[in-house]
Amino acid sequence: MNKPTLILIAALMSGCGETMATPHYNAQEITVESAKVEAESLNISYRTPLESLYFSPGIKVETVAGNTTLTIVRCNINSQCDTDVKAALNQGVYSATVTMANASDLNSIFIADTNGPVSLQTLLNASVD
Amino acid sequence: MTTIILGIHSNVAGSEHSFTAGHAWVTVTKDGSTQSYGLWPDNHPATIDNGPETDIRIGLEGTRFPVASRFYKLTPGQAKKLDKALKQRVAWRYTNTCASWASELIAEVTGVDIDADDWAGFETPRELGKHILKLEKKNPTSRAAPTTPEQSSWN
Repeated sequence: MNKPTLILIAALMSGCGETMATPHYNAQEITVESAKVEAESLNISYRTPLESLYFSPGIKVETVAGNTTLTIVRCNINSQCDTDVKAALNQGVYSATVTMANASDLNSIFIADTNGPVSLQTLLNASVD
Repeated sequence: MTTIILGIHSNVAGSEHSFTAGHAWVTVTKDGSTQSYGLWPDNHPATIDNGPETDIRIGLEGTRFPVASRFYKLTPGQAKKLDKALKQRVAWRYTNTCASWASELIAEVTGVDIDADDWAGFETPRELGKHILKLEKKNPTSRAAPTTPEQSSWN
Protein backbone atom coordinates (compact mmCIF):
# COMPACT_ATOMS: atom_id res chain seq x y z
CA MET A 1 0.00 0.00 0.00
CA ASN A 2 1.40 3.43 -0.86
CA LYS A 3 2.04 6.21 1.66
CA PRO A 4 -0.87 8.52 0.71
CA THR A 5 -3.27 5.61 1.07
CA LEU A 6 -1.93 4.79 4.53
CA ILE A 7 -2.22 8.43 5.61
CA LEU A 8 -5.80 8.53 4.35
CA ILE A 9 -6.68 5.34 6.20
CA ALA A 10 -5.16 6.70 9.42
CA ALA A 11 -7.11 9.97 9.03
CA LEU A 12 -10.39 8.15 8.40
CA MET A 13 -9.86 5.78 11.31
CA SER A 14 -9.04 8.57 13.73
CA GLY A 15 -12.22 10.41 12.81
CA CYS A 16 -14.58 7.60 13.63
CA GLY A 17 -15.90 8.67 17.01
CA GLU A 18 -13.44 6.48 18.89
CA THR A 19 -12.12 9.37 20.99
CA MET A 20 -13.95 8.67 24.25
CA ALA A 21 -11.80 7.90 27.31
CA THR A 22 -12.30 4.15 27.09
CA PRO A 23 -13.76 2.91 23.81
CA HIS A 24 -16.26 0.29 24.88
CA TYR A 25 -19.22 -1.82 23.91
CA ASN A 26 -22.45 -0.54 25.41
CA ALA A 27 -24.49 -2.81 27.64
CA GLN A 28 -27.20 -2.95 24.98
CA GLU A 29 -24.71 -4.16 22.37
CA ILE A 30 -23.48 -7.21 24.24
CA THR A 31 -25.09 -10.55 25.03
CA VAL A 32 -24.38 -11.89 28.51
CA GLU A 33 -24.09 -15.65 28.14
CA SER A 34 -23.58 -16.31 31.84
CA ALA A 35 -22.77 -14.45 35.07
CA LYS A 36 -22.22 -15.98 38.47
CA VAL A 37 -21.01 -14.52 41.77
CA GLU A 38 -18.85 -16.93 43.77
CA ALA A 39 -17.06 -15.97 47.01
CA GLU A 40 -15.24 -12.75 46.11
CA SER A 41 -15.39 -12.98 42.35
CA LEU A 42 -17.69 -12.74 39.37
CA ASN A 43 -17.40 -15.15 36.47
CA ILE A 44 -18.86 -13.59 33.36
CA SER A 45 -19.15 -14.72 29.74
CA TYR A 46 -20.31 -12.35 27.01
CA ARG A 47 -20.50 -11.85 23.28
CA THR A 48 -19.83 -8.56 21.49
CA PRO A 49 -20.98 -7.55 18.01
CA LEU A 50 -18.81 -9.14 15.31
CA GLU A 51 -16.21 -6.67 14.11
CA SER A 52 -13.32 -7.57 11.85
CA LEU A 53 -11.27 -4.59 13.11
CA TYR A 54 -12.13 -4.69 16.83
CA PHE A 55 -12.35 -7.09 19.73
CA SER A 56 -12.77 -7.02 23.49
CA PRO A 57 -9.48 -7.57 25.34
CA GLY A 58 -11.23 -7.43 28.71
CA ILE A 59 -13.04 -5.32 31.27
CA LYS A 60 -12.43 -2.15 33.26
CA VAL A 61 -13.86 -2.24 36.78
CA GLU A 62 -15.01 0.65 38.94
CA THR A 63 -16.70 0.35 42.34
CA VAL A 64 -18.52 3.32 43.87
CA ALA A 65 -20.64 3.14 47.03
CA GLY A 66 -21.01 -0.62 46.83
CA ASN A 67 -22.06 -0.68 43.17
CA THR A 68 -19.62 -2.11 40.66
CA THR A 69 -19.65 -0.97 37.04
CA LEU A 70 -17.95 -3.09 34.38
CA THR A 71 -16.87 -1.44 31.14
CA ILE A 72 -16.53 -3.89 28.25
CA VAL A 73 -13.44 -2.56 26.49
CA ARG A 74 -13.49 -2.30 22.67
CA CYS A 75 -10.05 -2.33 21.11
CA ASN A 76 -8.71 -2.02 17.58
CA ILE A 77 -6.87 -5.20 16.60
CA ASN A 78 -3.72 -3.17 15.90
CA SER A 79 -3.76 -1.39 19.29
CA GLN A 80 -2.95 -2.18 22.89
CA CYS A 81 -5.82 -1.28 25.26
CA ASP A 82 -5.81 -1.09 29.04
CA THR A 83 -8.01 -3.44 31.00
CA ASP A 84 -8.34 -4.30 34.68
CA VAL A 85 -9.30 -7.87 33.87
CA LYS A 86 -8.31 -9.69 30.70
CA ALA A 87 -10.88 -11.76 28.82
CA ALA A 88 -10.26 -15.05 27.05
CA LEU A 89 -11.91 -15.55 23.66
CA ASN A 90 -13.18 -18.97 22.67
CA GLN A 91 -15.52 -19.55 19.72
CA GLY A 92 -16.93 -16.03 19.84
CA VAL A 93 -17.51 -15.96 23.61
CA TYR A 94 -15.38 -13.85 25.95
CA SER A 95 -14.86 -15.11 29.51
CA ALA A 96 -13.41 -13.22 32.47
CA THR A 97 -13.17 -13.52 36.23
CA VAL A 98 -13.55 -10.23 38.08
CA THR A 99 -12.33 -10.16 41.67
CA MET A 100 -14.45 -7.93 43.88
CA ALA A 101 -14.22 -7.66 47.63
CA ASN A 102 -17.91 -6.91 48.05
CA ALA A 103 -19.38 -9.22 45.46
CA SER A 104 -23.00 -9.67 46.42
CA ASP A 105 -25.66 -10.13 43.76
CA LEU A 106 -26.06 -9.38 40.09
CA ASN A 107 -28.39 -6.44 40.82
CA SER A 108 -25.49 -4.45 42.27
CA ILE A 109 -23.19 -5.08 39.34
CA PHE A 110 -23.66 -2.93 36.24
CA ILE A 111 -22.42 -2.80 32.66
CA ALA A 112 -21.49 0.65 31.37
CA ASP A 113 -23.66 2.17 28.65
CA THR A 114 -23.73 5.68 27.21
CA ASN A 115 -27.42 5.85 28.18
CA GLY A 116 -26.65 4.85 31.76
CA PRO A 117 -25.43 1.61 33.35
CA VAL A 118 -27.60 -1.50 33.10
CA SER A 119 -27.65 -4.13 35.82
CA LEU A 120 -26.11 -7.48 35.03
CA GLN A 121 -29.27 -9.20 36.22
CA THR A 122 -31.33 -7.24 33.67
CA LEU A 123 -28.95 -8.18 30.86
CA LEU A 124 -28.90 -11.80 31.91
CA ASN A 125 -32.71 -11.91 31.96
CA ALA A 126 -32.81 -10.31 28.50
CA SER A 127 -30.46 -12.89 27.01
CA VAL A 128 -32.53 -15.74 28.43
CA ASP A 129 -35.83 -14.37 27.02
CA MET B 1 -31.89 -31.21 -7.02
CA THR B 2 -29.97 -29.34 -4.34
CA THR B 3 -31.38 -25.93 -3.49
CA ILE B 4 -28.66 -23.38 -2.80
CA ILE B 5 -29.37 -20.02 -1.20
CA LEU B 6 -26.67 -17.39 -0.97
CA GLY B 7 -27.11 -14.76 1.76
CA ILE B 8 -25.23 -11.50 2.22
CA HIS B 9 -25.20 -9.87 5.64
CA SER B 10 -23.99 -6.83 7.55
CA ASN B 11 -24.40 -6.14 11.25
CA VAL B 12 -24.29 -2.36 10.79
CA ALA B 13 -26.12 -0.08 8.35
CA GLY B 14 -25.84 3.63 7.74
CA SER B 15 -23.68 6.51 8.91
CA GLU B 16 -24.79 6.33 12.56
CA HIS B 17 -22.11 3.64 12.75
CA SER B 18 -18.44 4.51 12.52
CA PHE B 19 -16.41 4.04 9.35
CA THR B 20 -14.57 1.01 10.71
CA ALA B 21 -17.38 -0.59 12.74
CA GLY B 22 -19.02 -3.95 12.24
CA HIS B 23 -18.63 -6.87 9.91
CA ALA B 24 -20.08 -8.21 6.67
CA TRP B 25 -20.20 -11.80 5.47
CA VAL B 26 -22.10 -14.34 3.38
CA THR B 27 -23.95 -17.53 4.18
CA VAL B 28 -24.61 -20.54 2.00
CA THR B 29 -27.64 -22.71 2.67
CA LYS B 30 -27.71 -26.11 0.96
CA ASP B 31 -30.86 -28.15 1.48
CA GLY B 32 -31.56 -26.40 4.77
CA SER B 33 -28.05 -26.54 6.22
CA THR B 34 -26.34 -23.15 6.58
CA GLN B 35 -22.64 -22.25 6.75
CA SER B 36 -21.11 -18.78 7.09
CA TYR B 37 -18.05 -17.40 5.27
CA GLY B 38 -16.29 -14.13 6.09
CA LEU B 39 -13.04 -12.35 5.34
CA TRP B 40 -11.05 -11.69 8.53
CA PRO B 41 -7.52 -10.33 9.03
CA ASP B 42 -4.92 -12.76 10.33
CA ASN B 43 -4.22 -10.68 13.43
CA HIS B 44 -7.80 -10.67 14.73
CA PRO B 45 -7.94 -12.62 18.03
CA ALA B 46 -10.94 -14.58 16.75
CA THR B 47 -8.87 -16.10 13.95
CA ILE B 48 -5.89 -18.39 13.60
CA ASP B 49 -3.04 -16.72 11.73
CA ASN B 50 -2.60 -18.94 8.68
CA GLY B 51 0.02 -16.75 7.00
CA PRO B 52 -0.35 -16.54 3.23
CA GLU B 53 -3.33 -18.91 3.11
CA THR B 54 -6.80 -17.54 2.42
CA ASP B 55 -8.43 -15.12 4.86
CA ILE B 56 -11.87 -16.52 4.06
CA ARG B 57 -12.86 -18.06 7.42
CA ILE B 58 -15.66 -20.56 7.80
CA GLY B 59 -18.20 -20.58 10.59
CA LEU B 60 -17.06 -17.59 12.70
CA GLU B 61 -20.30 -15.68 12.24
CA GLY B 62 -22.79 -18.41 13.05
CA THR B 63 -26.23 -18.32 11.53
CA ARG B 64 -27.99 -15.60 13.51
CA PHE B 65 -29.38 -12.97 11.15
CA PRO B 66 -27.93 -9.49 11.62
CA VAL B 67 -29.43 -6.06 10.93
CA ALA B 68 -29.21 -6.32 7.15
CA SER B 69 -29.56 -9.53 5.13
CA ARG B 70 -30.50 -10.42 1.57
CA PHE B 71 -30.95 -13.85 0.05
CA TYR B 72 -30.56 -15.18 -3.51
CA LYS B 73 -31.60 -18.56 -4.88
CA LEU B 74 -28.85 -19.77 -7.19
CA THR B 75 -29.05 -21.56 -10.50
CA PRO B 76 -26.75 -24.60 -10.97
CA GLY B 77 -24.36 -22.44 -13.00
CA GLN B 78 -24.23 -19.81 -10.27
CA ALA B 79 -23.68 -22.52 -7.65
CA LYS B 80 -20.58 -23.66 -9.57
CA LYS B 81 -19.28 -20.08 -9.63
CA LEU B 82 -19.88 -19.85 -5.89
CA ASP B 83 -17.94 -23.04 -5.14
CA LYS B 84 -15.03 -21.73 -7.18
CA ALA B 85 -15.12 -18.31 -5.52
CA LEU B 86 -15.15 -19.74 -2.00
CA LYS B 87 -12.07 -21.83 -2.76
CA GLN B 88 -10.00 -18.86 -3.93
CA ARG B 89 -7.10 -17.56 -1.87
CA VAL B 90 -8.18 -14.09 -0.76
CA ALA B 91 -6.21 -11.71 1.45
CA TRP B 92 -7.81 -9.22 3.84
CA ARG B 93 -6.45 -5.68 3.37
CA TYR B 94 -7.77 -2.19 4.11
CA THR B 95 -8.50 -2.03 0.40
CA ASN B 96 -10.09 -5.50 0.38
CA THR B 97 -12.22 -5.67 3.51
CA CYS B 98 -14.91 -8.07 4.61
CA ALA B 99 -17.43 -5.76 2.92
CA SER B 100 -15.42 -5.62 -0.33
CA TRP B 101 -15.21 -9.39 -0.47
CA ALA B 102 -18.89 -10.04 0.34
CA SER B 103 -20.08 -7.44 -2.18
CA GLU B 104 -17.75 -8.69 -4.92
CA LEU B 105 -18.63 -12.33 -4.29
CA ILE B 106 -22.33 -11.55 -4.80
CA ALA B 107 -21.50 -9.65 -8.00
CA GLU B 108 -19.25 -12.45 -9.28
CA VAL B 109 -21.79 -15.19 -8.60
CA THR B 110 -25.09 -13.47 -9.34
CA GLY B 111 -24.22 -10.35 -11.32
CA VAL B 112 -26.02 -8.21 -8.72
CA ASP B 113 -24.13 -5.10 -7.61
CA ILE B 114 -24.69 -4.26 -3.94
CA ASP B 115 -22.63 -1.16 -3.36
CA ALA B 116 -20.27 -1.04 -0.37
CA ASP B 117 -18.26 2.04 -1.39
CA ASP B 118 -17.78 4.50 1.46
CA TRP B 119 -15.52 7.56 1.77
CA ALA B 120 -12.60 7.63 -0.64
CA GLY B 121 -13.76 4.36 -2.18
CA PHE B 122 -13.07 2.22 0.89
CA GLU B 123 -15.72 -0.47 1.22
CA THR B 124 -17.36 -0.75 4.62
CA PRO B 125 -19.96 -2.92 6.36
CA ARG B 126 -22.07 0.17 7.17
CA GLU B 127 -22.36 1.14 3.51
CA LEU B 128 -23.03 -2.42 2.41
CA GLY B 129 -25.69 -2.71 5.13
CA LYS B 130 -27.34 0.51 3.95
CA HIS B 131 -27.62 -0.76 0.39
CA ILE B 132 -28.85 -4.20 1.46
CA LEU B 133 -31.65 -2.48 3.38
CA LYS B 134 -32.45 -0.30 0.36
CA LEU B 135 -32.87 -3.38 -1.84
CA GLU B 136 -34.87 -5.15 0.86
CA LYS B 137 -37.28 -2.23 1.09
CA LYS B 138 -38.13 -2.59 -2.59
CA ASN B 139 -38.11 -6.37 -2.74
CA PRO B 140 -37.93 -8.11 0.65
CA THR B 141 -36.25 -11.51 0.88
CA SER B 142 -35.68 -14.14 3.55
CA ARG B 143 -33.92 -17.47 3.70
CA ALA B 144 -37.32 -19.08 3.19
CA ALA B 145 -38.25 -16.69 0.38
CA PRO B 146 -35.10 -15.75 -1.54
CA THR B 147 -35.14 -13.71 -4.68
CA THR B 148 -33.44 -14.64 -7.94
CA PRO B 149 -30.64 -12.49 -9.32
CA GLU B 150 -32.71 -11.93 -12.49
CA GLN B 151 -35.56 -10.38 -10.49
CA SER B 152 -33.13 -8.20 -8.57
CA SER B 153 -31.41 -6.80 -11.64
CA TRP B 154 -34.74 -5.54 -12.97
CA ASN B 155 -35.29 -3.32 -9.90
